[in-house]
Amino acid sequence: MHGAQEAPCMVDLAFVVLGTASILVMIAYASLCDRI
Amino acid sequence: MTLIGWAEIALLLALVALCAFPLGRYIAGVLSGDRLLLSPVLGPVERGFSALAGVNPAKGMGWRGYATALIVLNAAHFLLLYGMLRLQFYLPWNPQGFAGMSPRLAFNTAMSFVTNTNWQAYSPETTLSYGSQMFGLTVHMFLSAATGIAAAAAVMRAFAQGGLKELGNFWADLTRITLYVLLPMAIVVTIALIALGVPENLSPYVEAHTLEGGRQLIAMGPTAWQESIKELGTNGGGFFNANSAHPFENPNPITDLVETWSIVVIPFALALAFGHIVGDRRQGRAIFLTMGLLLVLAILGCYAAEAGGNPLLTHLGVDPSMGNMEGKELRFGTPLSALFAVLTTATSCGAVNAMHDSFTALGGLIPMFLIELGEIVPGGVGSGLYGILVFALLAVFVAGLMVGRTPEYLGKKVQAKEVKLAMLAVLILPLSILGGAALSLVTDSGTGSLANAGPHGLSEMLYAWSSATGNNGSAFAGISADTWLLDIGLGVAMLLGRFAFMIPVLALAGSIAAKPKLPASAGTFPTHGLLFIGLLAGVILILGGLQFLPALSLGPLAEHFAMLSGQTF
Repeated sequence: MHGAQEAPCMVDLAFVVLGTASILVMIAYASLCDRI
Repeated sequence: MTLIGWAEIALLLALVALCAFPLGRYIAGVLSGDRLLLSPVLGPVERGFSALAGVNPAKGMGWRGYATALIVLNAAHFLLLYGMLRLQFYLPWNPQGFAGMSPRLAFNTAMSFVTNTNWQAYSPETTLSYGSQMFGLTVHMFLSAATGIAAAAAVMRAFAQGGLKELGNFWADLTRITLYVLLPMAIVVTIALIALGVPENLSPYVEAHTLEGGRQLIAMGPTAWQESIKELGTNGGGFFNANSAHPFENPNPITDLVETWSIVVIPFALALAFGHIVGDRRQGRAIFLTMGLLLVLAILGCYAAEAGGNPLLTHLGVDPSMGNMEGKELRFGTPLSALFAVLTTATSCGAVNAMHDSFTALGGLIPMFLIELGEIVPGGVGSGLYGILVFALLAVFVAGLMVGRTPEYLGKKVQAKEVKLAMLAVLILPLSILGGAALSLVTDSGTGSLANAGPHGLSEMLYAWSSATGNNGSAFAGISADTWLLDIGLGVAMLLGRFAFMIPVLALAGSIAAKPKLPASAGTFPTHGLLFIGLLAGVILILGGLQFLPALSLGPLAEHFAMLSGQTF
């Protein structure tokens, strides 16, 4: 059952940026909604 | 269909109706900041959290502030959960020594649990440590459920008074909902489930020797605790891969009753809480009845389809008396399987006690359509209420167009800005569901994920995108979801379905809140009567039908007619 643990890598950084930025971009979306 | 089957369904609906009224009153008290029975115990804890976080719970927030706090918190929790899933090998409570998830699967899973979706492109018992399940997933089941109810609280307050600039304090709402609603209910349900046979331990997996001399590893773990919030928070993420079909998660029909009750009681109670908060309980009852009417119709349709069975199997000599039993547990049969499938997709839960992929074409169509309607009958915790209120505004807008009057809802005028924001929210669903499914079906990666050809394959892909966008999380199965396309694509769909729907709704609440509350006049369209209930149900069905009927015709409807002509997929 023991698996091989991969070391954190650049792909992690890409996913962290993608996930966090795509949630935070909703703040900009809120600004757009405010202008309707 | 059998009398016992109907009796089981009627018992559940009666229990939900019985409990929803007092719970609705209680939740309204929680959201209004009233002193409650649990206040002497939980009040100091609540004040302690506020002091620790430096939050003044009495300080109100405008809709932008409320939305920003909600988004920032969820972004931070995405980071936290991603890190936990990737690094679980180094973290405690990992007796099986599981390695961290792959980056793309950790992205998909973190997005899934932060958005209340609980789509699981992995098998929990062979992938996740106890630590990841308890402190990664279960914590986020509480957080995402409380986030949904907090957003609904902001929307409810918008209709309560005129000229409001503030919708409440997000941090105070989140704390009170977790402490006074979710935690106490989860404790009670957990104890009930443990008493009924659901395991709760931190033991390593047990090795058993089978009668044939083989070895079998039996997964263990803190199941009951996750199980309770899985249902109460309409999360749906199973401790085991088979979810509530697994005998440890849902051992018997009594635990099934507890779990199905847990799935729908808070969403229905929130509709009634709405009536208390706006000061007119009839309004809450009208929303409650609309949700109930559509839910009962769906249960009728799904149970009839599953009890009718598959005529192709009957021709082969299979006894049709129990209906379509493929993919179902004998201890639940067709009535409890159909009931669970409808309840889990009428809310944003996504737990399953039977395999939806094995339902008849029409039996599978109903859960899929319920997700595509936006999961508003009664919907996810919080998201169901604010979702149906968007449709209520569209219903009064349509009624206003018909009689030539400016539409009003609860004394608030519904004008161009509100209708635009409502449509902005509603159109996210077809954009992500139909766009995503179409994109997947024209790529080799997408079609390569499918286990079935023809209309059934189309249903599998359509269901996956519906489930992710609707933050449901159940799978039609028959699809290999752990691919680059689906891990990332469905992750983004979950985000759109959650926040790109919620943000325009909060903006709508901000706009509605600022309007004066007009007194009812002779020309006011009453929104608590049967006419409004019929209109609201009609708008929901017609809008959903216009958006999704073409795709459903090519999937489950085509499969149904193919079955009648002797072809199966």
